[in-house]
Amino acid sequence: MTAAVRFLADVRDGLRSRPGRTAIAFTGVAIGLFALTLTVGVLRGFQERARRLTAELGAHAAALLQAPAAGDSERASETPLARRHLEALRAAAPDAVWSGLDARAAEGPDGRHSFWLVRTDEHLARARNWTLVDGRFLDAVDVRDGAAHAVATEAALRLFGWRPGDLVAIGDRILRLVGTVSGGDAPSEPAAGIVGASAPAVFVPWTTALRGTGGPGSDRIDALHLAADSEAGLRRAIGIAQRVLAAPDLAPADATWVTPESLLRGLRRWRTGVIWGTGLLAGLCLLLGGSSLMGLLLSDVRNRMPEIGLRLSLGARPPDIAVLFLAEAVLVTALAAAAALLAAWPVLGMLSRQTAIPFDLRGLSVPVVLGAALLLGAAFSYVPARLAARTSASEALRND
Amino acid sequence: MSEVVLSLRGVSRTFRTAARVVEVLKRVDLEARRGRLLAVAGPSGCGKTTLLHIAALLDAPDAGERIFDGIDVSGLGGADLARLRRERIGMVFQRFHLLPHRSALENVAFRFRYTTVPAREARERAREALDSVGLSAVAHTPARLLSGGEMQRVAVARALALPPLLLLADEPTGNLDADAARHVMDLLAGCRPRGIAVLVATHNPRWVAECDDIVRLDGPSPKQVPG
Repeated sequence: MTAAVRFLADVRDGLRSRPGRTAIAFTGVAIGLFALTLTVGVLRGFQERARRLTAELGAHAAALLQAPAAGDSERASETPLARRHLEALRAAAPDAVWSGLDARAAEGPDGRHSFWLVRTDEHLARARNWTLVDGRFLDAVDVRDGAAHAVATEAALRLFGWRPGDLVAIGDRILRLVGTVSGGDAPSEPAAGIVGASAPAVFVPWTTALRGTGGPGSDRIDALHLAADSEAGLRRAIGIAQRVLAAPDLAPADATWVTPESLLRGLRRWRTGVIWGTGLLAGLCLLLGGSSLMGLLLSDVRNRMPEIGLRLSLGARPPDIAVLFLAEAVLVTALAAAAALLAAWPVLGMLSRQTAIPFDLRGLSVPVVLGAALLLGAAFSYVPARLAARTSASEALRND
Repeated sequence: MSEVVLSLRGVSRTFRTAARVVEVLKRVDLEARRGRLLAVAGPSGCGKTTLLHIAALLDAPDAGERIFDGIDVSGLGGADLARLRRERIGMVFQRFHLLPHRSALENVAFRFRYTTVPAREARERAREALDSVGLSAVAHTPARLLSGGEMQRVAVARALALPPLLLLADEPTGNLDADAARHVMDLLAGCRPRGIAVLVATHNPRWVAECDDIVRLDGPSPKQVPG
């Protein structure tokens, strides 16, 4: 305890003997660490968004999306995705789970909120790797008979106050909620046009007659989903699908594949740009801040020669002298890291709300910034500390 | 316990620069004894400070023998020399070497910085040492605000707070007016009854005359003579 108190008093003395230069070094390092916090926050934010995007699509899953048409007449003249595509793909690649859906926004029973009304088959939950929270998903009998059954997402239940087993009015029909699905922590806003189980949505058999939908007669599909048991299986199924859909009578117009890879590609481009920008800024500022810190310490070693001599005459050993300068530097960088983190928190929150760049300072971000600060302090104080430790006591005492 | 605290035999020290070689000390002999003041006299540049640094185990001679408290220190490593300095040697400098931001009391307590003496005890002993040099009134005054004489008395208190076997004073009156110098020399003389061996480097004949023994460094092979 005594040793620690004495040590801290020494460090405080050292820093306050040159307040101006200490402040300059502190500011330089703090700006650098702020930029580093930004970089780490962006990295972590992108990582988290990638994880959630992949979670939203499902593990080893992909989708073929029909691009929205400019108008019904134009769309009618093209070859849109339809159930026949689904049947052809299911036959060509039976190892994968295939499903299709037709989704449109519908007004909720409260008249205030809307939800996704999705017509689909019994395979969608498996093709999307959704978790069944309650009851069951639509089954083959529901689809065969056009049953008045529906499955809702947890978000829809929360929004409209429904409970599993309730009879709910959807369009012109009364449907029974036979199950609830959950999308885990995937984002509630669908990415890349994919309706997720985290959004408020109701799934009905596409054979069920329902006002406001294409109805049983319509075989239109907005999205075609598939899931495989492995990455290799997914690649194989996509390859087969691409060959099948290359046939002139099946080639869909304006359909886009959405795979984990394609979802992350755009994200990676963003990430690379932002990280290079902030990383470069962080590197430059840390270099400048570290250099000014080293300059401060080097001039400190020169200015504090008599003090070094005094300490040696009082029985200090060279490592005691080195540790003194090392601790001063580490204290400056640690305080700068604390200031940078405190400043970064609100700034990153604001940037996150106002830009499309994701920031996230949870997890290892704070230890990474603190660790970098300590390393920086140790690295830039090495030369001054070594110089101080190697000073001859006799020369130091003569240095008046 | 030996009467002789420090014995130097045939100590030489040479400094080499790119331009020249300077033989600062040439075969110096001396013995610092308990309760006696030994003056190291000579003009500026004659090697007084170098000799004191060798005596304080801060510098090593190129040749000669150093016996401190019965131990031949030539074979000791850095850690052992640091321990001896920490526990048995006190130093007073011409320019005081106080920590300007710390109070007089904290400067005296700094004597215990590298010892295992608890902080509270160190502070208590520092207070006593400061009392003994008549400076309790300025105990909490920052060192930078003290007069030259007060600074040197604080430095003496610091050296004596942990009673040393050997006290080395390098031109302790060099920066002081006559009254302050007198006060400091009285403090050094007060070490006699406490059994402390004192080595005073000075070029002032008045202070040399007050010492018990003298080593003059202006001759070819300096020897110690009674004062």
